[in-house]
Amino acid sequence: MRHVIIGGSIAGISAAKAIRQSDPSAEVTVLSGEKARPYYRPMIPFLIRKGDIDITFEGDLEKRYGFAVAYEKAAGIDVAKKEVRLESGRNISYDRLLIATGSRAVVPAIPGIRGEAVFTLRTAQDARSIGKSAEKARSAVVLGGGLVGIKTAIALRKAGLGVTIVEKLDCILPGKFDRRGSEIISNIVEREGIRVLAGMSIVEAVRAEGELRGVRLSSGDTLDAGMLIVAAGTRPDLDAVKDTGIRTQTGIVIDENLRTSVPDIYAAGDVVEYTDLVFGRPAVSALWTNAEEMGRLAGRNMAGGKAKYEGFLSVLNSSEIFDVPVMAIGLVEPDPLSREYESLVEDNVDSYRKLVFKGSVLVGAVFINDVENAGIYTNLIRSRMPIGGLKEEAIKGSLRYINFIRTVPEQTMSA
Amino acid sequence: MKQIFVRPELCMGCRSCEIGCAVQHSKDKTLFSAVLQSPPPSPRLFVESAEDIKMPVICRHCEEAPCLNGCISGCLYRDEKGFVRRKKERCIGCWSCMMLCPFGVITRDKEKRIAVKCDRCHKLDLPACVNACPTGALQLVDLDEVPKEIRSRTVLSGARAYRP
Amino acid sequence: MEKNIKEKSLDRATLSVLNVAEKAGVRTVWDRYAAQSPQCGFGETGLCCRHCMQGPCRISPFEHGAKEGVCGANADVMVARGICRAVAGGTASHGGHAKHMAYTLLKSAGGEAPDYPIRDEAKLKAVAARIGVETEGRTINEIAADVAKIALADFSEKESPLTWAATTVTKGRVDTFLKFGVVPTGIDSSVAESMHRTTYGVDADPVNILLGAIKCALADYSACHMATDLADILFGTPSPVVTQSNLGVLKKDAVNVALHGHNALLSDIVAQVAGEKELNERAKAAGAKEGINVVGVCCTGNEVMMRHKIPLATSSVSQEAAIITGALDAMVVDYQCIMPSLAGIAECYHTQLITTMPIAKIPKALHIEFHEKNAKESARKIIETAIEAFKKRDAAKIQIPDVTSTAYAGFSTEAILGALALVNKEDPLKPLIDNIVAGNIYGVCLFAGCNTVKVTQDANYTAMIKELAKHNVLILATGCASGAFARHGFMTPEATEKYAGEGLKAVLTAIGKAAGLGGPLPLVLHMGSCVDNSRAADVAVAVANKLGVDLNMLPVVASAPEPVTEKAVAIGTWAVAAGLPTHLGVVPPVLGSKVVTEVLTSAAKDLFGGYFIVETDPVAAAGKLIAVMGERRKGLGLSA
Repeated sequence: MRHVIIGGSIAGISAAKAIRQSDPSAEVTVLSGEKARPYYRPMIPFLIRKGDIDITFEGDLEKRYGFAVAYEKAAGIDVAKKEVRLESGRNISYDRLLIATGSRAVVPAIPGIRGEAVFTLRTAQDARSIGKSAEKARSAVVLGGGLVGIKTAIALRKAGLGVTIVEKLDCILPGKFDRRGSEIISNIVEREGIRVLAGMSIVEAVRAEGELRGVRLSSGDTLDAGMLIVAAGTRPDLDAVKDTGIRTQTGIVIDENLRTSVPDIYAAGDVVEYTDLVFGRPAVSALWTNAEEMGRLAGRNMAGGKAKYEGFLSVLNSSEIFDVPVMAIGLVEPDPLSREYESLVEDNVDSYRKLVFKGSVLVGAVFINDVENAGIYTNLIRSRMPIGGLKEEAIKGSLRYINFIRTVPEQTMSA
Repeated sequence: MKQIFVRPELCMGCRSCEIGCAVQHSKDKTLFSAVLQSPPPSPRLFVESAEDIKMPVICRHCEEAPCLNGCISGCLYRDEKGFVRRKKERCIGCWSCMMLCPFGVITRDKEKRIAVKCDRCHKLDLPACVNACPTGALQLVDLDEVPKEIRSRTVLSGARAYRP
Repeated sequence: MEKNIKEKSLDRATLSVLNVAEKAGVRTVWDRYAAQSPQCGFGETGLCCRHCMQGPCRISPFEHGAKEGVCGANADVMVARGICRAVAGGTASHGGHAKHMAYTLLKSAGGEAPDYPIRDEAKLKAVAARIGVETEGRTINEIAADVAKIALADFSEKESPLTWAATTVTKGRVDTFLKFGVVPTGIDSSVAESMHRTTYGVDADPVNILLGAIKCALADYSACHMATDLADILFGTPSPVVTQSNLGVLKKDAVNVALHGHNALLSDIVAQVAGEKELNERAKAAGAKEGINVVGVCCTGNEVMMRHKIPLATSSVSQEAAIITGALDAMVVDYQCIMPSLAGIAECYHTQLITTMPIAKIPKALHIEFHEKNAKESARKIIETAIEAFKKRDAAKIQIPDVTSTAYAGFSTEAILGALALVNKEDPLKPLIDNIVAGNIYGVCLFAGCNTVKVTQDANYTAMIKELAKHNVLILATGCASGAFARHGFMTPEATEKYAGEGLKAVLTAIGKAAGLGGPLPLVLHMGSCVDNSRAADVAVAVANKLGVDLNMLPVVASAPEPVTEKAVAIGTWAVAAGLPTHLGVVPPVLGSKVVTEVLTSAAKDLFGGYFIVETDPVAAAGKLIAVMGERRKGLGLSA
């Protein structure tokens, strides 16, 4: 069986490993459009300040698992002939195909945005370019107050630049953290000298002789800036599936076995659109963890398995913002008018905890600073296990694995 | 393959396992120096209780380890014995592993800002926790032998109950 | 495991304070208990020993693990030694309390303690007569001096049995104790002997150790009885009073002073002084319209409740709640059952914690040492400190739960006999005995002990009393057991109307009416503090002697539904030795030894007639006690 995988990041590599582990006779080729050895994409903000740290996957994966990586970009797919057409002109045939092309940065159509000193942050190369530019610039503006924007702003601030984050919606981390959590994180970030302008848009990237001078805001004010980082979100990279008939909406639509609408073609990772476990409706997940899982399961299924994929959490973030651990999982900001959800909050000076319940089932959690045992909550959300009478323990943070041990049958406990 | 087998019915909640683990992961590896160490060493397993059960909750070094799969920096890896371990220098303190571990057995080193988890005392023949347990609630067993032992114990208890 | 707030206490007042504490971030005993959980199973089963530096040793109750300590002590020895040392701790406590009393009496008799005059000359003479002190033609001080000297002599090793034990138990008990070699001859020497026999390499016979523990427990009994008698002599024998209980007794417009600990030597003086005009004027001048309000906590609270109607604010496990109301201006303590955490909690409020005894100091508390020779002066200083503290109140933090319960107290042995005498002047015990024979009183249950964080506060007490009262069991109570009943309204005539079986109701009504109450006596007869368990013993002994049987034949039982302290272990042990089946609502640390468990719950019955019944379910416990009383009734030829 010949497997071809378009995309050499985590979804693609996980799938390659999984196929080879399930079927040692399978032939697997990974097509990586990005000419770089596979690396940990979430690490790239660190390259801004130190361009030479090694963030690649360790070891010779190809040798270890027995798949091949070709540094070629896919130009199109002939689903009838079951061939991938490469940019170089070559064609490569497949028995099973996985689309793991990931996502690309969204760049809003703002006058002046095209040109030097404007960056997006999707690749290691992007990060190094930003780092180089930061050596000379004194100030930077980050368009977008999501996690990428914040991490970029932090890296630039630590490099000594004056940094402003401009976020269109009225709080940073929209959709990723709840309102109060965003407020707390915003305070932390501002305390460290990064300015946050929420409820504000950039209407123009101001240039003089082509050189970036600053940005003009929707308020009318201008900000000086030697660099502009566009971190306005990502969307699935659907270029490779143009004219293939593979069903897409925002992303490629898959079924519970990670198959697309075309037989023998699978999809995994950021490019996919699938059920969010707590929102109960299709969503796109631009998260590493989900991409790894989808790639792994898709690979298993491509090799003949029947792994069922229930869905992902499109909110599943853990990070450190200036030494403060922050986590958000699931449905973190329920509709205030909805009576279906119950939010429990412990908002203290040195820690913030919020749990969102739908009846007896946990659907969302936010933890700032007090993050011990967070995985127990993630597991509750994913498994939809009813919490019983333990809500008080849960919000106080005294919930432990042992509280759920009785859900295991008695016989396995002792003999 | 040798695994740590927990028998909750033998757990006394004395936490000797936690002490043993912390001492093993201290600088000088003796109790008295560990007690004086600043910051003090942390155990990698946790004695917990609920209702009538007490037991140590340990890292399982899962075959499909959520922590390993979700690690975004390449810190967590599986070694040649199959244990999930850290490359400490690659940990960036993002705590994704903590967010994903369903057992809650990964914790933070707040000083070094890196994740802390069980390494199965890979340098020792007997893990420190198993060594410290005074009742045999923690045992190092051969996984293939366990079902056999459970079967024979079940048969024995059944036979005893059956005797008129 | 962390408890939900609702599970911590049955008492509404305590619960409302705990809600406040949680919001204010004040940690209480319940938080500390959660942090300690799970507690070590070796300790829970009594299977650890730290008596020598070759340890610490643990014995595993399972297949795997050591079965002996380093010295060779096995599980039975380890557990028995632990119990013996616990009894010694209890005996040392009650002994210290009684000794303190005896010294004060001696000083009073010698004119060196003007603040401690002898208030109950009749009691003095009765006690003197009982212990063989000549009263004819002698002054009160002469008699008192002799009584005090004999009391003090009871502390060290003598040639003869302890006076207070020997002169108060039945002859049958004396014979039994002699038979098993458990007659104590000195209170302090019994404690020392227990420490000696349980140290490295002394007594390794578990049964011998337990008999030694019983001997020490009988010394505890002696100390308790002595403390009761001397307190009555110095401060007056209690007679029935009506007062209030629970946290609502704290007053927003008064200087609130809580008396906490055990010895009336402190609390009675402060209670007296608090009524002085000048101090009350000062309090009013400071803004406290209602002057000075003294309330009690724990046993010393019971002492002043019995004698001075001082309201009982709260008990043991909820002692911190008194401060968390934000309305307590001072808490004065002497010794025993005083949580060190009070100092830290007092710091969160304006409350001044005041220690008074050289052996009981707490960092961050104010120490105003108490001496017999200038007791009232120290007491005034304490009240003045409270008035100063009042000025520092933070009105925003004041949240006094609006919960109080009426409580009838003051049922000393003399008071009970006095009430019975109103029914039958010549033979006061006759109505009691006749009703026991007739079954109107099925039996008698003495509730003693503490409140523990391990069960929902007061839950065991309230469940048990309803079952027993329904079955016509006469209920006596002391210590924090009294506190529990008081809080939940069981110390009232109304409770008799509501919960007593017909027979019991009829008896209590007859006596109540004869006493001029216009209704029945309260359902629970509050006999006093923990040392006043000796009062209940006196009633049992009186009935036994009248019937011509020994205590082990009577349908009289004891129950400690929420035991905590070493004192409780000691009292429980002497109750068993006295022939009373004694219920414990919490499992004591003995299960690690089959021998010890067997001796305490079964063999003791054969030796002493009394034995321990461990039952954590209160309804089941009540059932077991009723069954036991039925057994005893059958033994006496009475209807079961």
